[in-house]
Amino acid sequence: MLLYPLSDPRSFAIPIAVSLSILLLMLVLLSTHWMNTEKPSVKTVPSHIAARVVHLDKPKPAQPKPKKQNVKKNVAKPVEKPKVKPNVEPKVDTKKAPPVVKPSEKAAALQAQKQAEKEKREQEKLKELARQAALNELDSLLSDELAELEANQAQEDAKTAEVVADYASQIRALIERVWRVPPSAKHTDTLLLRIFLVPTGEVTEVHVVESSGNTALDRSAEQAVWKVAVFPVPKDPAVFEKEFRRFNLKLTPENARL
Amino acid sequence: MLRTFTFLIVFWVYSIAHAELTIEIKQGVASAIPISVVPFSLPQGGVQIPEGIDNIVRSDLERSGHFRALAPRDMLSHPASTQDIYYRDWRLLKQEYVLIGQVESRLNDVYQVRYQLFDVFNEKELLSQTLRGSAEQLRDLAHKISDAVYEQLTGIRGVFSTKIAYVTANRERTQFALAIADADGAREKIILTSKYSIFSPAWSPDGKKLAYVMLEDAGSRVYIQELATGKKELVSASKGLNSAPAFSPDGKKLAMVLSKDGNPEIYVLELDTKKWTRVTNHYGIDTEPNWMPDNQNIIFTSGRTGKPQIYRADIVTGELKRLTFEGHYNARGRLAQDGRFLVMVHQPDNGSDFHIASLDLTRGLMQILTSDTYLDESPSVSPNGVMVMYAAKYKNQSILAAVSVDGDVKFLVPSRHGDVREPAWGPYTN
Repeated sequence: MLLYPLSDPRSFAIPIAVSLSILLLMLVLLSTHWMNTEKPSVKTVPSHIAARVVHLDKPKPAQPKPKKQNVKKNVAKPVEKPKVKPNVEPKVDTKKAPPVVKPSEKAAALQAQKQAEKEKREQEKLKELARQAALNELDSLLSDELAELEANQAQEDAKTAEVVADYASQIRALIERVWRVPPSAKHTDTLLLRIFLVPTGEVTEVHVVESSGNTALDRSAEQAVWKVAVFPVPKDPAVFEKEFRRFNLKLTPENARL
Repeated sequence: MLRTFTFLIVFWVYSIAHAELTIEIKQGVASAIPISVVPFSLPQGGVQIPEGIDNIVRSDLERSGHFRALAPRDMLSHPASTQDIYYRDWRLLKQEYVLIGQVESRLNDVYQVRYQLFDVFNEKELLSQTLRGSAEQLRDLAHKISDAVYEQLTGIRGVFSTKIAYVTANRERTQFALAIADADGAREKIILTSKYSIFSPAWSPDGKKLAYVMLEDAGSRVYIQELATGKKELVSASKGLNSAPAFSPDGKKLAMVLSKDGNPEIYVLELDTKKWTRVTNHYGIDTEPNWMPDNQNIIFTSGRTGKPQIYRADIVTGELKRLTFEGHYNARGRLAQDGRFLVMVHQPDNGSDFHIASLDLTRGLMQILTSDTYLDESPSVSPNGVMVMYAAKYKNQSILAAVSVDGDVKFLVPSRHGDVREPAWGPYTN
């Protein structure tokens, strides 16, 4: 009796069982992070924003610098801090020491300790100085690097602008070849389309942002975009994301007769 | 340090405020729109019409010049309903629009025609309508479908349902007739036959009356005839010439040419009050009046400079303006496309051929539209201002031909008669 529904060809038992097991499997897979969902979002960060991320990382160690520059006026503070730590540690040592160490040895130990502390302090002072020197050096290096980066950035921007202009003119040529302007269009008519692409250049959406007032003309423009269907887009994902994932077409049939 | 900061700020602001890329497109192509008119599905038993509705729609659209219809045999399928439309197939055939329809038989010889227009690239339905009519009205329904499709896709009102009037004569020129027909030349109907010659038919703006000139033994006469009843009324029978009637756009006045003062002058008759107003006063010939849409200005041909040229007169202020300067002979002016173009009979130089030309009144450009025909005369503009019908000589016959105001589309209007002349394109009927 229990097996009866399974033998019935119209029964839903098997499909239900199958879909339930698929759902379960998917739940298990998802809970085990078999797919890292963060990756795609990392990918979408344009590479030249990533370049700036390097920027941001370097200034970070530099940011405490202003504090240190201020600190220079009252050097005591950073020096005091290391003092406290060694003071505490020896204390712990002395407390632990008594049962093992003899009183005569205590003095020697104390002296040794003091000397060690002194050395430590000096070392730390040196370290601090070195650090400061390094920081200063880093600062100057950074500003040099920044200037260079700025120059590079300007160069890169110019290059990007060139790439964008190149693809824009390719897109323009493709549209102009297929845009069939209806006979009612006037040469002064103008409309604005917003186009959404995927990184392969395929059109996913077309919206009329500003209508020309002539529906036949609006439609002809939308059709022109769908007729092209796949636009050439820059291979650099950063440029694509910034300029071509979403862009506008401003259409004016200047060669219309009316 | 400050520089870093400024740089970052500037960069941040730049990326936030960075304007979206906008590509400007300034050129398009002005070619015929590819459309597929799928054969309409027919009811069991078939419909008694010599040509299918889809055939009429197809030829209407093609004849307009704005469409290129795919032959049914080249279609991958003949869908009759929405779910049978595979946009991908139509895209493969490079079709931009698809029209489908079904004809169904109803009681009492009534047919129901349902049609749908689809946009292949935007993948959506643009039009859907159900029409009803008797077997004889199926041709009207077809023209109505053509009108709707034409207007939807071109942005211009269709004129496939309009009528044309024209004059026919037998070879011996002893028998004349005034006829009306569909704008494609089909369904001709003779409304008047006479042994006298008939000239200058002119439509009333409501499409219910025709004014015309008849050259009787006693002289020329202007009549107005009601199409529905055949009742005709004598409007003008003054001494000398009575010719070239033209209804004002509001239908209240009739402009015409009278020569009772010695030479042809333009007069306006108020139809209700029978009051006459003289518009022109010149020793040169003034003729062929045609109204501008404002009911106040009249375009006419005048020989006042020695050669015919086209002028405009304001019947209220009396202001006069010459419109044409280019060419040896310009006559019978008609406005087209909302008054943007002036269409006329044009002869560039003394002795050259007469052709139909259009003058762009905004840019001042004269364009000769016809070339295959000769002795082109009597241009008449379609109510949507896009096409011009005219009479011409072609292979030693007087025929009607049509040309678009841009000169791109030309076709001959078929006729069974030896001689066809004086076309007058009727107004919108609905």
